Amino acid sequence: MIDTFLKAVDGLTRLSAWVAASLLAVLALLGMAEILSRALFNYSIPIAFEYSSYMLAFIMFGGSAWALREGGHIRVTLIMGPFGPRSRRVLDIGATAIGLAVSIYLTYAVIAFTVGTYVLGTNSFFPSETPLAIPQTGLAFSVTLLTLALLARLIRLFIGEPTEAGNHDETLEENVI
Amino acid sequence: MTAPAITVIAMLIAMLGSAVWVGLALMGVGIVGLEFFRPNMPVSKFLAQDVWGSMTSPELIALPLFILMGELLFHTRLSEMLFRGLSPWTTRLPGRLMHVNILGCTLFAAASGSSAATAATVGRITLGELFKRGYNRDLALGSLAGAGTLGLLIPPSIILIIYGVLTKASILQLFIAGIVPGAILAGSYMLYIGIRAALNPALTPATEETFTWGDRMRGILDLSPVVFLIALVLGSMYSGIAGPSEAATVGVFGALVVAALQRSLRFRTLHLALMGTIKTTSMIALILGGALFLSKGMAFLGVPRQVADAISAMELGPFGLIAVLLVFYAILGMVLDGLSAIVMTLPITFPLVIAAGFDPIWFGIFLVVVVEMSQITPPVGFNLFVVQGLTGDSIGKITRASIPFFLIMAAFVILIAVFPDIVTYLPGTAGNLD
Repeated sequence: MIDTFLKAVDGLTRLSAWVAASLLAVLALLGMAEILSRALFNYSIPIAFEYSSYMLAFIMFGGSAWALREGGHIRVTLIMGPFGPRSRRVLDIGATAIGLAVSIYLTYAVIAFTVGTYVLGTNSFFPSETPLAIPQTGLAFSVTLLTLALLARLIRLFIGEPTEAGNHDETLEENVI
Repeated sequence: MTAPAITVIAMLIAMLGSAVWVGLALMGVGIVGLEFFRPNMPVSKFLAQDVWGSMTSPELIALPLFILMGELLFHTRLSEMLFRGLSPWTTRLPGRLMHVNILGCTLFAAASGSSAATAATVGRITLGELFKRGYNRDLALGSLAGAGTLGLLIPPSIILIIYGVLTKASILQLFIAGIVPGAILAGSYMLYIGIRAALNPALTPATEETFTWGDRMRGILDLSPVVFLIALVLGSMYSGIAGPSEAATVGVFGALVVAALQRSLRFRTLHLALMGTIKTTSMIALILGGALFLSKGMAFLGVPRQVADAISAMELGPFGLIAVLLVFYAILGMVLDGLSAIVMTLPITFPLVIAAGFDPIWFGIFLVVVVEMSQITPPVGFNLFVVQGLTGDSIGKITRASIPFFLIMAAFVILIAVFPDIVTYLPGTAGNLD
């Protein structure tokens, strides 16, 4: 039961990160198409600017839950240095619980906001008049997933499973700037 | 200072200290602060609107694209190329191949927005080659850790994009402003290596490497695609043809062409580069989302003004203020990574500095150099970790090796405080910037 939940969250976070990566590729292609179209035909692709910013929202947050699982988010772990593994786990449980609480609040806020947009039927002020609830649902999904990933992390800490997965061999040594 | 300021600062220290992820900690402090001191405010609605607004802001489109450009180049054989291309040109300089660390980092910094990535990419090849040939270990380690930090200052720079978003300063002008200081710092590092090597021949091996003019020409040929790519990206921004996001788009496709020319363009590397970019972007987005929300929350609570009043009571004067900030950030940089240190303090320090009469672009560059210093100060100095990951030396040894480079940066900060034109001259001459 718990195992199914953990696996399902892992699967969803990977899928979401993969979608974010695909959107990043689309963002680059759309940007290039816009540059060429403007340079060669003096024609600006109507949706390029608007849709780029919607995609950006998912690129920025869609992989957040996966990044958590991969140990990609920054935290100050100085306090854990002098402690043994057991005390560290207790500290980690505390930090994860606080993170989860903030994430639940954020998730509630974004879902309520998206529902509000949907109910009001707010459209974008661009000619496409895209219903804003559609791209906002992507953000709501992303932060819900982040909350689930934090919950999964908390469960893993309680049952004593490793919290960070992933290989660090082939990506940049440290994904810090 | 009054209750809100003290509460917010105390909560920040407590949250960060208990190892909560930086982005969530900043957001949490903002939420609790507003819910507690502004009970009538619809905080959750404000948070959602703010996060949505920040994450769809057009200036940020350049961010994942520049990261992707660096990732794509990281997966090419750029490290080997930099070493092969640069080393034949350094034999006449005292310190010889040691300069490849600096030159390689400078070049890669102009294609990448990150300091750790710069040190990792260049160091992968240079350190092994330098040790094998008998170059002084300390100087090699220190120069890599020090020069790697140029990744932050020389455009494109992730941290300058974030500074621009937080302060509404022009990202384009910030990028242009980073060029001259980056070049001066790189030159100072080379000067230091040259002087050390000239004074103490034991630092370099006795047998000199021999390169023919054929090697040198092949070196130029090796480097030309990357140099062309850098010129294209920076040139298009400097001339005003392209904004940061267009330049980043062109940079991504340029990096793909470079990879294709080297025959290292595969589906697998593309996949790795995209996923690596998503990971770094996610990390930055969470911190940025939290920081932008907290900065508005603090403004509602009047925290910046309260701190400003406390500071102005000290009557520091402009240079006193800069000196205090230098020490403050140096200390903060020991326990925090540079990005977190900047985003959480900027809402308070930026208004102070601007009120003291400093230029926003100038302060951006000042902060980046200070953050560069924090990259090589323990216990949390990411370039130290990167170099340790490459060589296995102790953090203490790498830190000691980096001290001269730390001091050069500190001297440089004083230099730009006395002569701010070093920073602001070039952006003033560039075409059509806003």
